[in-house]
Amino acid sequence: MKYLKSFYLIFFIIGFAFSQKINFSHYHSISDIEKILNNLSNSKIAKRIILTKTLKGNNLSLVQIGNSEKGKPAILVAANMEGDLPLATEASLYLINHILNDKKMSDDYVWYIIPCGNPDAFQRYFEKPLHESNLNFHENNDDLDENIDEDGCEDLNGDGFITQMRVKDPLGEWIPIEGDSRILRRAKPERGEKGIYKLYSEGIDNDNDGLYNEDPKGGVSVGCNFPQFFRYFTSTDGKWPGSESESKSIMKFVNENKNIAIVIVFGSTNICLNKMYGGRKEEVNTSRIILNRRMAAFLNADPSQSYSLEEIIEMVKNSSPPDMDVNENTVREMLGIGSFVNPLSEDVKIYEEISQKYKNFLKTINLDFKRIEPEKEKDGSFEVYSYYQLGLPTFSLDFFPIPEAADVKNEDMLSLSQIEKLSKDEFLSLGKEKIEKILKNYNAPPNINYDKIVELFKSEKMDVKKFSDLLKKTAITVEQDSELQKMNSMIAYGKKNGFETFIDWKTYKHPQLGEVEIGGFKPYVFTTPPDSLMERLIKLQVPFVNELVSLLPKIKINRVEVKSKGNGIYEIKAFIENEGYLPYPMANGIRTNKIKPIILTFNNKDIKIIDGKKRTLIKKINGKGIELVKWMVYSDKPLKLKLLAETDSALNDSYDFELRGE
Amino acid sequence: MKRFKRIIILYFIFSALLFSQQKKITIPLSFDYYYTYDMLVQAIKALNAAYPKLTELNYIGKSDEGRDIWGITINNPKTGKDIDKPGIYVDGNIHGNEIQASEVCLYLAQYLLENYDKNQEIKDLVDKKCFYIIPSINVDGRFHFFNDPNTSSSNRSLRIPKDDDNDGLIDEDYPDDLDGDGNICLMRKKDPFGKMKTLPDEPRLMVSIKTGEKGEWTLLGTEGIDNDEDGKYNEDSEGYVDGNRNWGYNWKPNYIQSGAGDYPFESKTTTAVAEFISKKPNICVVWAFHNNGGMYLRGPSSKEQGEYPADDITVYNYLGEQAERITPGYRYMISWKDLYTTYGDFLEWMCMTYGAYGFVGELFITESESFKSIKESKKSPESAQQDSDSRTSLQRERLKFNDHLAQGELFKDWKPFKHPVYGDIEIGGWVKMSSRLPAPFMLKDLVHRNASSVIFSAKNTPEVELEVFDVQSISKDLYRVRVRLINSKAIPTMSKYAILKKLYPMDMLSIKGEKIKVVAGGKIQNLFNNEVTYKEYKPEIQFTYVPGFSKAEHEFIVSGKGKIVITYNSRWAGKIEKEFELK
Repeated sequence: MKYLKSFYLIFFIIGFAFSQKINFSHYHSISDIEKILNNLSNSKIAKRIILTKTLKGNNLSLVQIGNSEKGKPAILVAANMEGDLPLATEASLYLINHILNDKKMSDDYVWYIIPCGNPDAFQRYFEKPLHESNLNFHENNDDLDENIDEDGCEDLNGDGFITQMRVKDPLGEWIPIEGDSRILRRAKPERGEKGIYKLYSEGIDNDNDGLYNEDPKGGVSVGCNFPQFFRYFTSTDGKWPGSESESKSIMKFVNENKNIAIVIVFGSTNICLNKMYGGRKEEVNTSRIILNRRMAAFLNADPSQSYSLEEIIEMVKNSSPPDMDVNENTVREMLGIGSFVNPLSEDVKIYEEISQKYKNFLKTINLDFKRIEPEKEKDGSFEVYSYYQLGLPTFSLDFFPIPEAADVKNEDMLSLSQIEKLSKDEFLSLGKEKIEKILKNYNAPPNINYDKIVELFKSEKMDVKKFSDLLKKTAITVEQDSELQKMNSMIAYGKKNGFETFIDWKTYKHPQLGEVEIGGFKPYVFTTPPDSLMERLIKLQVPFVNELVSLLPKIKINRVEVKSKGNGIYEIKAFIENEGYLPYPMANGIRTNKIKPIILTFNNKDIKIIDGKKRTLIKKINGKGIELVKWMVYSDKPLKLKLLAETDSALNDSYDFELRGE
Repeated sequence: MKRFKRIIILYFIFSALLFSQQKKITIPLSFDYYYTYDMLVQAIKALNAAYPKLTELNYIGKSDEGRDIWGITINNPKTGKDIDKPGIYVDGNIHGNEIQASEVCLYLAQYLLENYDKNQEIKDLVDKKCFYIIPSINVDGRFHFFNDPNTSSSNRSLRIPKDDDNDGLIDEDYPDDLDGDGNICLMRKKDPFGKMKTLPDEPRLMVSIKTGEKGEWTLLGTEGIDNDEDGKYNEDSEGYVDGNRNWGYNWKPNYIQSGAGDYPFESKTTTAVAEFISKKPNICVVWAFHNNGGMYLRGPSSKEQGEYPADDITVYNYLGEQAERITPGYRYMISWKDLYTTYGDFLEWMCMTYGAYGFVGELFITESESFKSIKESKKSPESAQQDSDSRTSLQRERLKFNDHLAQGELFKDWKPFKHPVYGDIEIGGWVKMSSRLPAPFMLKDLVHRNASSVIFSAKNTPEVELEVFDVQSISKDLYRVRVRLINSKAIPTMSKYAILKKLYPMDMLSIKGEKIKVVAGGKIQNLFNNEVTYKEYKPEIQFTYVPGFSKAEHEFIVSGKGKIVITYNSRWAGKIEKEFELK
């Protein structure tokens, strides 16, 4: 027995020591992570919860650090939901390590950390040949033929990477960009460009249907399998939101744990640098709603006329009983006009302020250079689900900022916005050579040459604004521009840091296509820096999590004032305060109706309340805000009381006071 | 120990009492009463026991409260496996209170089985098709509807506890059966400032007062107390996840679609049913029975989805308009347009995920509780003038129906009650087993007509024949083989929707032979002009489908000789093989 005890003790120490010493000199594979997480069970404050098993038999794990107590805020960190972002998983392991070494972090908060939301896809990063994919292994007949998962990629040249194949073809759609014949872009036939290459992913047409690698193993992109803006009828996002056990089990967990105060996603987006993406069109134009006959009759309205949502809300209020709670949500539901689709303006303000904090933070770690933009939140992603449906403050971080390379070949090229700002004389004084360069760079139509331009400007048929508008139309689309910029920047970054980003095209004898060239960007290169750079990047950036957490709302009872009104009647005033920066809840939390209000109760159930409620609900307190609540109570003798303020995720507080005559 | 014994004895007495209250289930089943959850399970099992050769008992799964959900498959294994035949899926009672939906399912099953040996039409139908029947989806709701006090509309929800009023307490303010009669009725209080008055000739009925009239009553709402003392009555009862809003297509969160749940398939109940359905790709027709209003609803269930493809609407109209004739008074309607918008409902999930054709049957029309002679119905305009609106006259007529056809069982007379907050009040009104349910004597008509609507659609599931209608020699050992697929029924072998949205592979028509090579193959677009669209790769497998009451024609150019097998394989219409020799 004694022996057993000491055995446990040793085990415990080893385990804890191990968890304190995660080595970040390389990326951790699934089995490495399993070892780390298994050892966590030896730590008193951490445990691993298996949310589900994937189709490949991998564990989808969640690490809980810190004991959950009522009101104690929990922080959900969801890393690598996509499955193809090993860096995000490393960042989450780094965070786990960090929390285990800082007791205060788990004293004050409960941490729920998901190191990877899509373990089956993640597993692919550690397999040969290396093939970038965010799909799990759910069978999927992508090409709707007689077989399932029968045509995936092959590493034809045996270099360990699945890259691309380019083939010269009269029907080709791709051409090399100027200055770097390795990089291809789509030809623009409307500008007289003729494609040279057809582009395929590396492999053979296993099912002989003329298509290459169109039905690979799997699967569903778990990271896009959540209900907000879910895309139906794609071959990758699943049949319905939550169709995968991965996403469903995560939703189950986050809905059952109401103590979650904030969601921080480690992935490909950065909702710290940029505020949440907006500008979506509503499903229904809410300024012009036409009511159906039944509804119009009920509201005494004209079915042939259109009304704004605000007008209809007023009408519904007028024809409902006075105690019925009529708000935008109830009316939207009544009319069947969908959910909100853009970040709410109150929240946008908060996101903008936090973005400023983040930019200051980047300065302190010297990562404030101009970088390639992070990805936008994807439809069906966990980020948008969390913001639009859980109603929680939602942030995200990517950890691989690629510095934007200065455009070498066009260093002296004016941008369109620069041109726009020039006066007519300034523009003409650029001279023939420069203006012709500009025309070429922005693909101006061939009939517009320098002489023509001068003529048009002099006859005032053209001005600088019109000219730059014309170039905007002819220039390669902005999207393509940024894609090229990204590729150039990647190559430059690799060169500077001494790692290979691009595998040069080499000829290969393809059994079906004949002579092809195989090459292209290495898989994962845009998202996954080499081992040598990884630790520094996460070490610098993960600490911003501390800053986000410091912003959480904290509900406190500032003070309670009692005033005797005589005859045993007292007026009680309580000042309830939110000491945190973030409101409780945010505007989205109010809209989704998912966040429980702050609940005020007295510890004495027999107290006679004359005016006011036994359970007072406060729907919202702004950051650094204060709310006043009043009661009128009766007590025939002095009475000691306690006021309790309870929340699910923004702390609990109590305040002792007494009812007595003056 | 002694006490323990007493408890055991009491338990046996009680269970014996309970058992004696239940009717014994025998085949043929009766349809002049409603089946409790336990009786329903017994009935499903009894059907299976009586017709073991034609049925299979399906354990669907456990409900949210842990009750068993049972289904029954009707299929004749001698004529083939179930999934090789067109599947007709029928369910009911996804809303706990909508109980007669289950009786429609039971009746359909029994009717098909009972008549298999007696009626050639039914025999043909059962031999060619397969029926999947789940009489009660929301078994928890059914159980509580029978066992607990209810209104005719309460206990609709799945039994997943939710904080409906977002006050931090869950399911804490439910209706209370104050007078202990097993019904949740209405509460009213005498009040000279009230907004209601009784009708002089029918004191059980109240109408709103007009301006200037003196009031008599204030209507206080459904029977109950304010359990959580928040000033609102019965605002957070058991549940509320609506079984018909928790499915995976066009699901929207609870704040915009109440009853949605936290995410699609949050419920064990809906998950279990979806799991069962996922194994039956042959389901081409779906019927989900509800109450009430006398409607056959089809999707779309929301406007922004847009209308279904025209080819599919043709099929819906054919089935829906016929159902309107089979069940007079029921209207065939479009769900979002003619009723209301719903998100995440079952039917749309079936149609959008599996491409099936489906209807919701809203059973029972209030007007069927009529109390009018021929003469009276002819001069209805005048009699309507007796009341300010038609609703009141309908209520008046229903009360007479209650008095003379149900001997007072449907309406509870107003009786005084001392309410802890409101003081002297009266409780009364329509009882649980009324309003949305036909009186038992009318049940048989309802179940037969609705089962007949299902049978009509079942008869119209695709039936395909394959004929090799033209074999010509082009040159030595080179042949042109033409194949025609003929669908003699209204429903195509794939919905247009399934094709357009690429829900699954199309039907396959393939040609094989040991000594042949398929040189080319394609779909014949125009037989007379010899217009064929060739498939560039793998010509031996053609993707196709056969529209309703129509055909699809394909051509193969084959070199070689000998035995050839042509196979047609369809999710819905099954598999056909034809062999012949090229000589």
